[in-house]
Formats: sequence, structure tokens, C-alpha cells
Amino acid sequence: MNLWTYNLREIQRRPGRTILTLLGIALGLATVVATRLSIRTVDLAYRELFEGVSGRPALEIAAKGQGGFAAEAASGLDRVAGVKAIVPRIQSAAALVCGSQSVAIPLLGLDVNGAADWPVRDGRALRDDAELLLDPALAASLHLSPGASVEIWSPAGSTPLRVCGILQPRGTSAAAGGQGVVSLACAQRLFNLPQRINSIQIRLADDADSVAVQAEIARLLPPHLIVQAPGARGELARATLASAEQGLSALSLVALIAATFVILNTFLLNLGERRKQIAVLRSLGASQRQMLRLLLRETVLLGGIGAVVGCAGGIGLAVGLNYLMQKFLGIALPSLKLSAEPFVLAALLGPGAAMAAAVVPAWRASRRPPLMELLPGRMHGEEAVSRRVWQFGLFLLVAGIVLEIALGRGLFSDSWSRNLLPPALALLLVGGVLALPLVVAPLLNLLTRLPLGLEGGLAVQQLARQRGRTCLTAGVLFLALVVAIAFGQALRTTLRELQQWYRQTVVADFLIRGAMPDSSFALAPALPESLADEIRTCGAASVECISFLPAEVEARQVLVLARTFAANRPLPLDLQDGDEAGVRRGLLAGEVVLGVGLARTLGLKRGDTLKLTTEQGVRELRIAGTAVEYAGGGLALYLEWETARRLLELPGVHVFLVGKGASGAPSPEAKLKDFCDSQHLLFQSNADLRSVIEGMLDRVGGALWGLMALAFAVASLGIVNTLTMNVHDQTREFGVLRALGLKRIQVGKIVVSQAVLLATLSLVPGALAGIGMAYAIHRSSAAGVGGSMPFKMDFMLIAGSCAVAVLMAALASLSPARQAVRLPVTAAIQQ
Amino acid sequence: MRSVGTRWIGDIVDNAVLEVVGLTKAYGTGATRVEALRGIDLTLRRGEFVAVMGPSGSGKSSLLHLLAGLDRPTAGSIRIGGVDMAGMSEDERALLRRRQIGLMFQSFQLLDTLTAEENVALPLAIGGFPADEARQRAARLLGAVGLAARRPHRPHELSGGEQQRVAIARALVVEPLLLLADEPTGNLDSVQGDKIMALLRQLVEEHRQTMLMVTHDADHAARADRIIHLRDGRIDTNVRRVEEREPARSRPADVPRVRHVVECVEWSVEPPPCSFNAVSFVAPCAGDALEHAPGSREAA
Repeated sequence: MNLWTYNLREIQRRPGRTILTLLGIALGLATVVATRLSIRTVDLAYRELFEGVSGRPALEIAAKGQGGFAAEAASGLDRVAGVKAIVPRIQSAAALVCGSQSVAIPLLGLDVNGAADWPVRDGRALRDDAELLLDPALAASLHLSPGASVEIWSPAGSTPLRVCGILQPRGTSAAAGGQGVVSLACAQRLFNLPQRINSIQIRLADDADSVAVQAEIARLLPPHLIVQAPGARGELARATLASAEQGLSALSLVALIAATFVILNTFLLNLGERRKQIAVLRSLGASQRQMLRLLLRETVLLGGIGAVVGCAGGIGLAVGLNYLMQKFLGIALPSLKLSAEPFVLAALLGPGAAMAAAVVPAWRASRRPPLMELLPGRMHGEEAVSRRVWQFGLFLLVAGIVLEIALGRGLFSDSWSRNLLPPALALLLVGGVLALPLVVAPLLNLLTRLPLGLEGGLAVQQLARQRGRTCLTAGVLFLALVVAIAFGQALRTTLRELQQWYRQTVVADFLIRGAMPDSSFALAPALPESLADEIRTCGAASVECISFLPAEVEARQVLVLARTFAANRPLPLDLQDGDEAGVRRGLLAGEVVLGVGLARTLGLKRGDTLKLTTEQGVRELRIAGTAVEYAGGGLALYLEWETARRLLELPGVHVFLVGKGASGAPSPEAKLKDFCDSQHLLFQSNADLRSVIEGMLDRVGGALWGLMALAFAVASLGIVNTLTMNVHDQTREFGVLRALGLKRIQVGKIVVSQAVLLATLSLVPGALAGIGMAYAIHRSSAAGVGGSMPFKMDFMLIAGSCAVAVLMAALASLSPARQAVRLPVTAAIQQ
Repeated sequence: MRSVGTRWIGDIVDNAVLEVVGLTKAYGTGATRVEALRGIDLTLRRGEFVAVMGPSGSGKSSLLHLLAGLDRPTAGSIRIGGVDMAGMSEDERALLRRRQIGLMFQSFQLLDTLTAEENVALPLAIGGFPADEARQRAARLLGAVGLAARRPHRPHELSGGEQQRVAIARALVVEPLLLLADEPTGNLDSVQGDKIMALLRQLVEEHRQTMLMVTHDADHAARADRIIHLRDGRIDTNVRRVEEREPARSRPADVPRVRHVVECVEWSVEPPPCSFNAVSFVAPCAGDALEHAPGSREAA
């Protein structure tokens, strides 16, 4: 026998409560782990995508906007100290067609002599311009081996190539699962870059100071070229995902806070129940410090176990999250990248959160004089809520509100705003729960004055008697309500906006492309513009082209959406500022339409001018209007096709938007489908696309609603705990009441009333805080991803959440009520 | 004060395991002030078994709690094993309890989650004993109290008498200098109560265990060497048991012949009819002579 036995038995004694605590910790940590893993997976995927193509120990020269340039632009750089070699190359995205499959891949074109750096595992190295080396993972996924024939869709059209070899594994090199390598001449032909390249790899000497070399090269380069680390190309991709990352981080933080309060709630209930036991241990000679350690290690042990369960759950959740993102974005993400960081974080946060929740109550319990608990007939007195607790809560709340206002007013830079939102939400939530006694006390006083009948009155009395317990349980419900209202409102608003956005912008009847792009359009294979004529011959009434180009605006990487605007169709933009006719005129005259997110980020509005970096230098363009745009994380702008062709190097067409004409005319769908099948192009009807998108939105929405339901479920387990403790406390009272003639059903009603009143206590503060947080999230996400809808309270959601809270509380009270109803009267009186 | 092995003892003079001088305990202040104990003087010598009796509110429990270090006196001193408790911190008093005092409660106070053996071993675990040694000692003690077969049972699987025997074993497992029992038979029927008392008496007889027991039961108190009767926070009577041999014809052979001698009587204002209390204690041996020793105030 050692004291661990005692700890373990105590943990086993209340399996329901232990499971609740573990569930709280595991859920919170699973969210943290899943979020970190997903973010890291996507981040690494993009980093490796670009680094895999360029090579890690190197610098890269590229055009601002990533267009082509003459290789001579970098002449003489090999004389810079520290530079070992200079390798001209082309890197771009193409669609690889193999049988019925079509995938977007990064394609690297390099001098055949330089291909020695790309050792071949099977087959042989590149020898001519019609050959292709494939990444082993990609080759395996497409069942390709040396000698196989494939087709590459690029701006030059469809080009047949032969797989001559499979590369040695180089780690994950692309989000799609691999890359291809062709000769420089082949790449120049595929991407319409005769005598030109779009990247120069700088290999450094082993002892070179890369920062100094980069600075020296930057000094020597012409203005339209930049030297950067290869991974920097992924900046836009990472910016695209920043909002999603921010949302996930906020959600994981909230989950962690909720877990901490669940631990606190159950721990306090445990302490309440074990007062006598603690007194016995103290009377047997356990010192205060020993008692503190004894109590804390139980919780920390649960925190540790919760961390292990949370890590396992986190991996599962991350797999699910990746699956959802793939479904939602319609792209292929790499398999999960397991790294130590999320698990180390969980290992620290699990016991840490448990310790944070338990340390103060455990300290207080360990110092409580044992004598009072040992006296026979001792009833637990009122649990006072320390003044310091709500004062501290109020302080946190005020700090959170101030920070939120500062964020709303744009007092911080983008990155700071992104990083500060989760702490601001955390301050609001923690402060809200700790300051809840300030609201609960007057509400309880109010309830005592209401004619609630005998059962209601007795229920209020018990809640008032155990004020600390009441406040904390109301706090857990408060958290669930805030999460449901805030994230529910944000979710519903976002889904509504997304629906409106794609209905407004994706107006074409059919879409044709080489392969599905990834979320940031970093892997969008371009098709030749000339395909438009062939599509027209299939009976299309209108064919519009759209291309996604990275570009530099005001020293910031943005996504340019270059497209044609058919004169006979409504302007396919969800305009926020500017009228349709004026914007159309402006676009045709070479003006731009900014995504709302970009306009907000740059602080620009209609009528202002922005500076776009082109190969010819910086050009000032007038802003014709602003429109809701989610592509590129909201950092996007629209250019008319010809303007883009003039200013930037159009890589080709990423999507053909096809109109079928008047309603009476025969549909060209069958012909178009046949054409796409024969050309191995991807064909989608608008209805298909919409059903796919709406299906994805439904799945994402369903998953998030499920998470919120889980929050309520955890909160209701907290209510079960509290009411069980209340029944335990009131055993003698119930016995006396029964002896005085109270019916069993009335005893049950008292317990159910306690639950309903507990829920009621959390409704007003929970709904108010939920609305406030929903507003904060709305402002922040609107700034991040380009949404524009004004904040509108979703009364149905608020009412629904409140009703669910009350219903869950009532359901949670059934078990304790049953327990109270079945108390034997004589034994209850004697307790 | 010095540490000897697991014991934490001071200089024990004249075998005095417990020395209480002028012990006073008051609760509340001003108009609400209530004095539970008013200047108690008491000495227990090694192997002595003292029963404390008195009506409700007389201060019995307060006295026991003070002796156990569960409460602090308002005035006076308590020395256990030669160690003065005055000025001790909470934790120092906990250490003293851990090493020198065995505690028994009316409601047993066993931990539900632990088996009988684990409950007995608990004070050793708190003291940091190796688990194996603690288990062995617990098993030995459970055997000694007749519960060897009940070692793996949880408290709710034991009868009240068995639970109290487990509590006795738990109290003894640290080999305390002083065993304090708070109405150890209060929750037991008469048969079980008698068995427990026999066991406690055996401890005193065979192991010279020093013990102070608070009880309401005069029959059980009669098993003690001395009975202290408290009234209104003061020692009313302090009666020592004297065993005498009597001819078999006048008493059953298995009933010890006992009489109690009033050693010390303190009166607060006026002496109540002293003979009433004294006679009531010696009732089983009615007809025996009373020996008054009014001047023998202990530990003065």
C-alpha cells in the first residue's frame, strides 16, 4: 500500500466523473493537437512543395509576380562570393493526365546536365525533350513505371511525354503527392517561355553566409527580380490558410478553456464530497503539503491520461479535419505530418490545465482544519465565492474587451491581429466565467422573489446555499452557450456568405479545367487560350477565361484573378462598393476590383489607386470597386483579361467558364462532355459544382454542429455532477420533507427545478457574451478572408441554443432526481 | 525534542505519556464566548487506560480534539511523549499525530475505497513507509484483531464491529504512544461494543498501551483504569479503578471485582453532592469503601 493506491482508488470510485474529466481534457487537447497537426501538415506541404522543387540549401531568384525572364538577367551572379553554382530553371504547375485520372503537379524544367542532382531510382536520367522523371510517390499513386506514356496539359496544350525514370524519394514534395522533372527546353515549350526561365537556383558554398549572399545578389539584380528563400513562394498559400488557422486556433483555445473549467468543476465537487476523507487523512497525520500533493497528483494524473487520450483523439480528429478540408476545398492534401511539437504541447497542457484548475481549491482544501469535518452531523455550509475570484474575472473581462476593441479598430498589424485574437477570446471567456457570480447573485435574488411554488422555492434555496458550486456549473453552461452562439453564428454567417459568393461569382453553366487547383491556386495547371475556340465549336454560347496569377501589390503577395467579362451576361462579381455598369467600364479601361479583404488590409477604397509590380516596373491602377472574394484568403484582386495580359505574364487559362445560351437553345452539355473526355479535361456543370460545394458546406457545418453538441453534452455532465452533490447534501432535508408529507414526485421536481434554474442563470450572461464574441469573430474573420456581410444577430440560433441548454439541463437532472426520489425516508433523516 | 527511529519523542518524565496543564478552550468572543474546557489538569502514565465521561456539552470531545492536535487550546499546555504542542504549526501537529497518536472515531472513519488492509496501512503510507513493509505490518495487526480473513474486504463489506477493529488496527499500526478513542462503541450494538472493549483492555493489559477513551457508556468506562468525569468543562471526578480479590461465593468468577476511587475532585463554585457521582461509578461494587483523595491533584 502506498498513497498512489489511494489516488487510483479515488479515480476509480467515480467512473462517470473520471470519464467526464478525461473527456473534457481529451477533447480540449484533441482539438489542440488536431489543429496543430493540420496547420503543420498544410504548412509543411507548401514549404516542401516549393523547397522540393528548388532544393533546400539554396536561394532562388524569381520575378515579382513569378513570370518569366531572360536567363541573362542574372549574369555575373556566379562571381558573388559564396555562390557555388547558378542553375536556371522553370517551375510551374501542369495537369498530368494518365488514363482517366488528371492531377495537378508541380513541374520542374532544368538543364539536362543539371539533372544529375535528381538521382533516378528506376529507369534512367533525362536524355531528350519528350521525357519525364516522376516522383516515386506520384508514380506509385498513378501506377506509372518507366516507359509509360502520359499526357501533360499546359498553356501550350496537351503534350505527350514518356516516363523515362522514377526519382529517388526526396520526401513529400507536393501537396498532390509528387512532382515531375523535364528538360528545360521541354518546360520552355510547355509553359510558352521560349528562351526564358522563371527561376534561378543559387547553390551556396558550404561555408557561405546565406544572408550576406542574398543581400549582395539583391543589390545586383534588376528591380523586377527578387532573391528569396525557396519556401517564400508559399507565402500566399500560407496567407490563404491563415484565417482557417486562426479559426482553428481560437476553437482549440476555447476547447482548452472549457476543459479547464470542466476539470475545476469536477474537482470542486470531488473535494466537496471528500471533505471528511481529507479530514481523516489529516487526522492520521498527513501534513498540509502532503495533502496538497495528494490531491494535485490525482488531477495531474488525469491530466496526463487525458493528454495521452487527447493525442490519440487529436490524430483521429486531424485525419478527419484533413479529410474535411480536402472535401471542402476539392484538393488533395498530403497525409498527416506527425511531429513532436503538438504532442509535447499536449503533454504540457494536459497536466498544466489540470494543475491550473486544481491548485487553488486543493491548496484551500489542504489547509482546511480537519476537526469541523469530523464532528458528527456536520453539514457543509455555504460555499462562499471569494471576492478576489470575481474581481480577477472582472479584470480579465475588461482586459479582453479593451483588446477586442483595439483589434476591431485595427490598432495592430495583420499578423499581430491574427495572433492576438485567440488571447482576446480567452480573456473574455475566462473573465466571463470568473465574473459570473456578479450576475448570478442578483439573478438568484430575483428568483427567490418569483412565485416558483414550493419545489421551485426549495430549489432556489439550495442553489443559493451552494453559491460557489452553482456559479461554477452555471459557468460551464455559460461556456457551452457562448461557444454555441459565437461559433454557431460565425459558422452560419460564413456559410451564408459563401453560398451568396459562389452563386454570384460562379454563374457559368459549365466549367472546364485541366485539374482541380489547390486552395491557394499555387498548383493550378493552366490550359492554352486557344481551347476557347474549340469549346465554342461544341455549341457554347459564351466562353469566358479565368486565370489565377500571383503578383505583388504594395509589397504584398496577392492573387490576381484575371478574367474575361462577357458583355451579354451580368457582372459575375459580388460587388460591395461600386455599381455594375461603372465597375464593368472601369475594368475594361484597365482598372481593378479589389477583394474586400485586400481593400481592408491595404486601407484602400473605390477611386484610390494601387501599385502593382509588373515586369515593366510598378504600375498604378485605379480601383473601380470592391467585391467579396474568398480566393487567396481574401487577398485578391480582379483584372480584365486583356489588362492582365498587358501588365502581367498570363500563364494560360486555369478555368473556362462556359455559358449554354438561351433557355430554348439545345444544351451543349453532351458535346462538351465528349470533348473534355476526348481531351482528358475536367468537366463540371454548374449544378454539379454547386451540389459538390453545398455538400461540402453541409458536411463542414454538420461536423461543427456536432462539436457544439459535444460542448453541451460535456456541460450537462457537469450538471449531473452538481445535482448529484446537491442531492447528497440535501438527503436529510429531503428525508424531513418526505416525513412531513412531501410526495416523491415533488422531491424529483425540486431536483429538476434546480437544473432548469441553473440553466436559466446561464442564459442571459451566456447569450450576451455569445453575441459579443460572435461579433468579435465576425469582425476578425471578415478582415481576414474578405467577407463583407454586416453583422446580424441570428435570433433563431440564440433562441435555439438557449432552448437546447435548458433541455439538456433538464435531461441531465433526471438521474439525480431519480436518486432523490428513491431515498429511503428513515435512512435519509438519520444521515 | 529528539527523533528516535520513527518516533518523535521528548523527555518522558516519570512515565508520563500525556501531561495536560490548565487546558482551556473557548469558542467565540464577547457575548457569544463559550468555554468548553476550563483549566483541565491531567496526566496519563504509560500503560494507563483512562475513560472520559460526562454529559453532552461537558467538553469531552473538545478535550479529545485538543489532545489529538486537531484543535488549538485557548490556554494551557499539552505534552505528549514529553513534546510540548504549544507553538506547533499545523504540519508539526500532523507529524506528531502521525508518529505518536492513534485515533479512533465513533463512526470508524475508514476510507471506502481502500480494503481493510490498505486502511490499516494508510498511516504508514502517509509516513512514507515502504509499501511492502506497510502491508506486512497491516496484515499482522489485522491478524491480531481477528480479521486476518477480512484483509481484502472493503469497509462496506464488514460489520460495524469489524470496521471498528480495523480502525483499532489502523490506530495501532504506527505504534502510538497514546491511543485516543472517541466513543469507539457508540455505533455498535452491545455485543460488538463489549468485544471492542475487551480488545482495548487486552491492548492495555498485554502491550501497556496508553489510552484515553471518551464514552457515554458507564459499563464500558468501567473497563478503564481511571474514569474522569467532566462537567461544564472541568474535571468533576477522577476515579481510579482498584481490583480486589473477593470470595467466589459473592461474585461470578468471570466478573472482575472492581471499585473506583475518587482521586481528584474539582468544584467550580460549590461542591455538588460528590457522593452522587462517585457512588454511581462504583455502583457495580456497591458496598465497597470509597477512598477519597482530595489533595492528589495530578501533574500540579
